[in-house]
Amino acid sequence: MTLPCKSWMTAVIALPLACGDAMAQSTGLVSSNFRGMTLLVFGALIFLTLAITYIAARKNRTVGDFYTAGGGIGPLRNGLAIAGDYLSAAAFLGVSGLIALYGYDGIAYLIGFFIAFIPVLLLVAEPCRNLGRYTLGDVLAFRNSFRPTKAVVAISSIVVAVFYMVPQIVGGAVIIRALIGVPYEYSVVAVGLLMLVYVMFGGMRATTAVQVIKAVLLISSCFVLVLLAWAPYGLNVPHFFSGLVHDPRLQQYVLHDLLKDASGLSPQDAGARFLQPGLYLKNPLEQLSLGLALVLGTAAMPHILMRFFTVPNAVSARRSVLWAMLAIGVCHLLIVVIGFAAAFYIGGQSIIQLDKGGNLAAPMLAQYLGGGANSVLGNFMLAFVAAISFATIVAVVAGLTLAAASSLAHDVYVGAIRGGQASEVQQARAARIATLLMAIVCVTAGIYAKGQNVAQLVGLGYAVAASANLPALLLTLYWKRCNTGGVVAGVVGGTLLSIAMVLVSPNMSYPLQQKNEALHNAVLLQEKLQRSANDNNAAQQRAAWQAELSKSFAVANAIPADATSLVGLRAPLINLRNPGLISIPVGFLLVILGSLLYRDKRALERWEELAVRRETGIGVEQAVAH
Amino acid sequence: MHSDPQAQTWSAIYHSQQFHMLAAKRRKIAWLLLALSLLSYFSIPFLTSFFPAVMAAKIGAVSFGLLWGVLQYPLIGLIALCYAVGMRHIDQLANNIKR
Repeated sequence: MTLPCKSWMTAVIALPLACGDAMAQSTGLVSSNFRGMTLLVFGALIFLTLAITYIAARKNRTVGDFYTAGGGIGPLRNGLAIAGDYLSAAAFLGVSGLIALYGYDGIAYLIGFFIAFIPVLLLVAEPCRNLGRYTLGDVLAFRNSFRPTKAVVAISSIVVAVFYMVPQIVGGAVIIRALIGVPYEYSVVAVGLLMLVYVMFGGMRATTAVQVIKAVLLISSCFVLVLLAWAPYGLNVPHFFSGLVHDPRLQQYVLHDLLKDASGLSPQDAGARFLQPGLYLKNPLEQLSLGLALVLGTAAMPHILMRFFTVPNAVSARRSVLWAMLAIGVCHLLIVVIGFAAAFYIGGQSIIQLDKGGNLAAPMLAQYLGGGANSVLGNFMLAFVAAISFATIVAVVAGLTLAAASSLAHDVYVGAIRGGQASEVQQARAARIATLLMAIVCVTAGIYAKGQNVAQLVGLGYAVAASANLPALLLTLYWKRCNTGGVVAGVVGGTLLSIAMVLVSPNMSYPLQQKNEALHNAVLLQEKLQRSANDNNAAQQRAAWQAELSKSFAVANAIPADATSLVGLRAPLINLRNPGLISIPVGFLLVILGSLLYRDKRALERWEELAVRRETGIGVEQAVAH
Repeated sequence: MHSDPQAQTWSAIYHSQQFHMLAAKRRKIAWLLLALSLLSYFSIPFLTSFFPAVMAAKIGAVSFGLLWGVLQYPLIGLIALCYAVGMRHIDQLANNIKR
């Protein structure tokens, strides 16, 4: 650690945080005795990244430096940055929590995020490097009509980035509050400001550095947690799992909490049940739809695509993906172990008590393995994991902001509005103004979304990318007849359809369903109260039930009988939470139909050049240094 | 915009035997590996839906489902490596065309 030598400087930086902290009402997982140490760890990490930004800012001169670090980043560094871009708080905290609470099903969810890099590797990374300069819009405008293509693709990319970013910020702020008690709004603003400093002053160089640091820290701390978790079993994996399934606390948790005493399983089988599918993902069609969106969406995520413009050539782009897959794969496997270790050492019931979604499983495990809630090492590890979670959020948000800002400035302003005619100074100014705009949008959205369940927006972001951007990208690259008509139809249609399908899906809240649930709950409570009417020992429990009963009635009565969802529905029209299963094929169909119905001489004329450049990389130098 | 002679160069390369071979080889390896990896991944929801007993089968302390899920990582990694190795030859072809 670099902590001791820099502590005086970090103390200065941590001061404003500490002041803010004094105003916090809620206390976090960190007890107040260790609050100072936690802030020091946070301060050290923030100081390190700001110092890097300062160095990077002095190297940045051109617009190319800002967007793509001049195209000079090596494969290993770029691969780690992709991992840093991609491993979100949702993966680290969310999935380890899902595994801790529901066992096997958390893994089924995680694998999709890994295999998603196969389409990136096989179909997208190298052609993008060979054909593009800063953005997805550049690649598509290679043969399609410049202005309309750039405009629609930029807008869908910004939509994807915002959908993906808001849950990161909201989830992050909630976790930071739970960990160290910093109020929600403070942490939203802190994420926004830090990200703004990195991106605006440091551009792609600083963003890359922050992402690399975050990836290395995240993977190494996961590794340490796994070592500590397995050490009591002599690093013998079968022994650990055998210990897990025979753990009486886990068996009871599965029987009572997960299966609601309705399974009739023996405790022995209940332990094994935890490692079998079906405790969380209950709808296979839903799983397929989400899986499709994840696997195909990643290949069209603007912040991932952008990383292929930062390397000198196609071979480096390919190597970047391979390094990224290694880093992400290793991290995923470590996360799997952390999830099961949390289930074993902490137990599902304790995890749910602190956070229903299980997001605090990994931090709780870190505290436990370090020696517990009252130990210095335990709290240091908790602080470290919390700081890394925070860095994770900032790094992902910075990558998304840079991607969205490049779409806004390079595609919409310089491309669609000015027709590609803008001086270096104008372009640089546009890029920074766009960054500021995106930062304002994400902080405002983050504060506005307080208390909302926005986790589903991540899936929606992937669905829009897979149904709007991916069909346009793949068919432009690989289908001779594809043209502007198809790209515009596919991108606009795919985006609108995905959003429309979510608006009529079970993701929205349906007041009538809530009313029915409250009434149903009330009936159950009344039955319980009746059954225990003569039991004098249950007085306390009965009082709690009585209170819950009046609350249920209050909820039910507050909802009028004709209440509808945001778009005026009493119940969802479709039963899919993720629209991918329908919207992705429709997206492809729209590009095909649009291309066949529209005549575009240029798209056909440039096909041969595109195909040759796509495969050989001839002319790629031109793309880097105009 | 490119001038006519340039367009003719692109066209000449596009229609050359060498380029044809390069594009066909890459297409073959990419689609084959893509199909394999999708098959491998979507076997999970498929098995879970239609053969839950297979996924629940015990292998030592763990279930087949857990083992198969974790095995996806080395399998997909292997597919990525196959691509990298296969592309070495294709890079050579591309370099020849560049010259």
